[in-house]
Amino acid sequence: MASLITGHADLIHDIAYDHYGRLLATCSSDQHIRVFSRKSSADPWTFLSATHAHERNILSLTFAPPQFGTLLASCSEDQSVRIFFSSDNGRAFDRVATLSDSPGAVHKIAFAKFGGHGLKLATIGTDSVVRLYHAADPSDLRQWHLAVESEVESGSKRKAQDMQASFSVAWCPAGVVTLPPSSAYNKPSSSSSSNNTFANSGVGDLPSRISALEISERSVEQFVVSAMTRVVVFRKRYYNSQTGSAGPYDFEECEELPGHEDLVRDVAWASNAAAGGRYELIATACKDGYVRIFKLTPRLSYAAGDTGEMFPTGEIEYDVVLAASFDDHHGEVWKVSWNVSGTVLSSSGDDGQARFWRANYRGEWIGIGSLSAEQGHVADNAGDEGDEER
Amino acid sequence: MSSQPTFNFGVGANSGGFMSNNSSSSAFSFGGSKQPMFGASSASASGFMASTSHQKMDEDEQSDQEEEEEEEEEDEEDDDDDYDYDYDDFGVTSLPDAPVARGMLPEFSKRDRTLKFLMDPVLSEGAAWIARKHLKADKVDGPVLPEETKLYPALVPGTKRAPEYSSFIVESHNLFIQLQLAAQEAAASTQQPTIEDERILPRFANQFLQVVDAWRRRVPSALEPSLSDAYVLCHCLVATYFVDPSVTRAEAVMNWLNQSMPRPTTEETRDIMTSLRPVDQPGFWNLVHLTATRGLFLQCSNCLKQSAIIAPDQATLGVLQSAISVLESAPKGTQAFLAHRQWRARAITFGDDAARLADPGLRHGLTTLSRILRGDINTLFAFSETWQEATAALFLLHDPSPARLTEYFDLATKEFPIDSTLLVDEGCAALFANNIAKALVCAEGLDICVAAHMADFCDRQRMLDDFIDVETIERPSIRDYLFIRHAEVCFAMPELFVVGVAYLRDTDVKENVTLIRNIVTQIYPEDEEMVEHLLVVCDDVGLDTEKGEIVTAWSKLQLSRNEIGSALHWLSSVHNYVDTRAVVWTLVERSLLQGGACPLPDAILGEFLTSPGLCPDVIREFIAPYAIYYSYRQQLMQISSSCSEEDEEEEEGGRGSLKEAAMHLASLIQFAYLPRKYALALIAELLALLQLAPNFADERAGSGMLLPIADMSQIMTLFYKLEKDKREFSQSFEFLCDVLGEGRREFVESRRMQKNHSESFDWRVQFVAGDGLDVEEEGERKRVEKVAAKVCRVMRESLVKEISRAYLEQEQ
Repeated sequence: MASLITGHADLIHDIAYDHYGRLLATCSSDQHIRVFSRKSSADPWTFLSATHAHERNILSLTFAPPQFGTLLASCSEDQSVRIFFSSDNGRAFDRVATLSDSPGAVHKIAFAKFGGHGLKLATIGTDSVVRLYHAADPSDLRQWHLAVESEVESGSKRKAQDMQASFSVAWCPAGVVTLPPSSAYNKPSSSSSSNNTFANSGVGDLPSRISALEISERSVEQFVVSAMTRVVVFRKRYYNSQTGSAGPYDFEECEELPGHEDLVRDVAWASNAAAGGRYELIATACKDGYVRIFKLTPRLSYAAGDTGEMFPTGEIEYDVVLAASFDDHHGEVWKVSWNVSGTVLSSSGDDGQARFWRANYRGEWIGIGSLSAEQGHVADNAGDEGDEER
Repeated sequence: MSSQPTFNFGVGANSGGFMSNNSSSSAFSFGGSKQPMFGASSASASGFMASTSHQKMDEDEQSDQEEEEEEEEEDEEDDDDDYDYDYDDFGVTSLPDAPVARGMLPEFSKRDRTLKFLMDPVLSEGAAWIARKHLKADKVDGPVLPEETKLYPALVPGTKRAPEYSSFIVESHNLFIQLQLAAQEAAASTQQPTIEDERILPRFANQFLQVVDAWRRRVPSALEPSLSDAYVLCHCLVATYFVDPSVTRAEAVMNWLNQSMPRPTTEETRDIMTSLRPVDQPGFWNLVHLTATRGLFLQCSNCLKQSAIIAPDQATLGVLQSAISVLESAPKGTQAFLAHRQWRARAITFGDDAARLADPGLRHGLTTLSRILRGDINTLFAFSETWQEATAALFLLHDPSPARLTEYFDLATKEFPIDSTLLVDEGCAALFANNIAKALVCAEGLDICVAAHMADFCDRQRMLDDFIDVETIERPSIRDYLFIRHAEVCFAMPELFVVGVAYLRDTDVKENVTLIRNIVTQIYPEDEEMVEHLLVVCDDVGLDTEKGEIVTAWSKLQLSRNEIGSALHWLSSVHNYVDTRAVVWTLVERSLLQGGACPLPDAILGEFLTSPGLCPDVIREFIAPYAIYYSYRQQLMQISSSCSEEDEEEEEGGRGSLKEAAMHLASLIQFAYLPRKYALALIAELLALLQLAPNFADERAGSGMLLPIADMSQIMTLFYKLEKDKREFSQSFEFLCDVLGEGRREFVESRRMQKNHSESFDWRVQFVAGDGLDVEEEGERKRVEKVAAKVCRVMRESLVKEISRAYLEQEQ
């Protein structure tokens, strides 16, 4: 593999692969987005198109799922999010929409990865407000509905002005979550609980086993946001304690991922990680020098009925555990990303290295190697999986 | 790699400084440990003892290597001249074309730079780039250097992506399928699968071993060490647990040892045995004893035969002949176990005879040989260098009872330590200690494909049943875990996607459906065949949503290639009517924007349009708006071509009818579900057509009015309704501007090329021709908006005029 001359006139801020890894887009302080393509993994990247996309530094960009065609969004210091569509698979991009709701720079954007939930775009900017846009009619990409606006950390706007701004957002890649079969039975204890877990749930008097199987998989729409030092999961609710069913854009803050002692630079979400995963993994890159991996194990949410009986609300909740943390970068960590199956995590930082981590059979996270920006490092066994350090 | 251009990040740093071997700066030990990694000093194909590349470098100058090896080493040395081997960089590899000179990372960081890396969404690779740490750097970070605007694509460490490796996986998988079929057949025919498995498994295990052996020789050298180590470990498993019935387990273990750690070397044997009197060579008896310890009885016998020993008397000759006879009659194969005691007794007898020989050298040599053959523990240990040799020798020569293997291993490892820095050593030791799970974990570190298949063999032989770990009890079995990991490797090679799914589906892990769900939509559908493959996988696993996603994504790809008919066909196949409808209206929109002739349809769409009977019902229903517009355009084209061929004979197919064209257009405008966005553009086009009618005072215009008055008044109502809805009118007006703008652009282009713009009817020409064609780019849209406003005004007037005229004509 050889380095790729992007043709940017300034530093690159972010890059994005399309869903299949066949297109690669870069954005830069030179206000341009440049797109590269390759026919197969064996081919080198070749330049495809360049677009003058914004009037100031472009900070982030993201491709939409392929069901919506070749659709690219970018955000910038110019306070806007712009949507570009290509009708010829990336050879040319036309701007189809500009979203200008942010009063400050927009730092990070991400399209929902699971296309089944529609064309949705989450953004976060200096005002620390996460915004969720929805193109209800994907055939008319000029129309974007601002569906959710929620401040993630009050006071962070001031902080962001005083300190460095640090915001990120990442969607849960899966559209469903697999629940451990036992979770149906792990309901909170209730003095009046009966043997039938679903007595008041409206599900009916089904035998418990069948019910448990039926609820082993749940539709879920969620994303994780980091604003300065705070990391929080937003999830669409299906149940409203007042009205019963929730609205289409009823997203709310759920779990918080604790322990970050400084600015969180990046977040990445892996769904139902392989090897029998019944959990989600969220990795964070933090200025305190740590890469953290949080394990989120789902369970059913219960609410008390009129009679005091606990019944499942249809919502899920997560038990959050810090599964691993590493300070091997010996400095600030800037980016984390997962492989497709959520089994390999990459982290990169101020030591000029991209480090790679994998969970072994016992679920312990181990380093499997590192790539350095510095010349002269030769692995003892390049291409050898035996270089795992234990 | 050292030939890469050195890149200066440091202000004022000289070139010498870039390459300084500052071992203390930014040299981080990976994982916080400075211990060498497992498998780091991988054994070569010939055994465990190969040194690391660093050690090789040191030994290079001293040892007498083969010429070819020397050349390779020299090349390596040349390449690595610039490296500091004391640098603590275990597990660290430089990015391809790494941009920062050695030792210059601190300067890199001072310039407010950091490294970022993003993983590829499918493959086991990604791209790194240099980024600015802070958006508003409070210090000047200097000019941006060319290396700072590059991307650095790289494979994830440990990724194997040689085409040969891919073929190895395929061949292994084929064998796996054969094993499944054989096991099924055996189960069906005998009702006693375990008994049959005992016969079947060794056969397949040995076949798999042959596959690994063949491919480890073919894959590129970068992958070869770990695959070779995996082969050694797999061979050890086969020798200890899946012995071919034609040999004893002791023989199998000794064969494994002789193949993985051969001793004595061919060179040693040749040096001694090609001398005039081998027996006089200092290493002769050691050679005899070593070959006997290694179970190489024929080689040992030949050494004695060709030793040039001069027997001084008949007794000596008899002892020598006895020794040779014992060696040559060593029991083998199925008889070995039963005949062992008898053979050992013969060895003791010839040893007793040898002890009475007068020649001290001969006496010592032959009695030692006897002690080896009768399995004397101390003697065997004296001729062993590793626990593997000691264990194999005891097993073969002391008592080949399989039950005693672990006992021998324990004895051997008390004397010879296990090298726990080598995965292969540790894995083999675990096999001898009956710790199968640990051996499989070691195998995982060497080669996941080999490890997964080893686990499968063990699982089928019920060797993993007792492996229960409290910490992992909620996780999949180790066999399933390895299958999943192997499947992941397959998924990183798109051509092996189906193989990966097959492995996943052969596990007991229900959640693997989730993994398949995650992966299946990520595979790029190269062609329809691939789409079909993916859909079969979805059907098999019951992934309906993903099926829809795959087809929709494929349809979008087809649309970008202008394969519209195919896209419609696929969309309707998964009942995606939202997108089907959107595609049809996009076609209408594209035609309106293009003006003139409709874009040529692809073959499938053409068939849908021209042969509605062949068109599936759903598509026929959805495609109707475009089919109508297409028919209208076809009519116009025929009129246009018939005009240009006025004096020629009428073409086959007839002349178009203006009346029919108008009827088509009017029906589309009145279509209940017409997106209002297109209304103004369509009405404008219709009115332009009506104004054109007087020019055709023949049958092409038809007799009487072009449109019934009812249609005209409906269209007028529609127009007024549209005007009242500000939002809809605005959308429709915007689109009308787009249509006119496009028409204007085309007109300018055709005028520049001195071409006749409108070979077919294009209503826009009359409005855009000569109307501010030379305006500045910035004023273009405003100009078009003015034209569009004029079109709307004309539209109102024309509608009133046309309806009035229609009434008048009706009265007459």
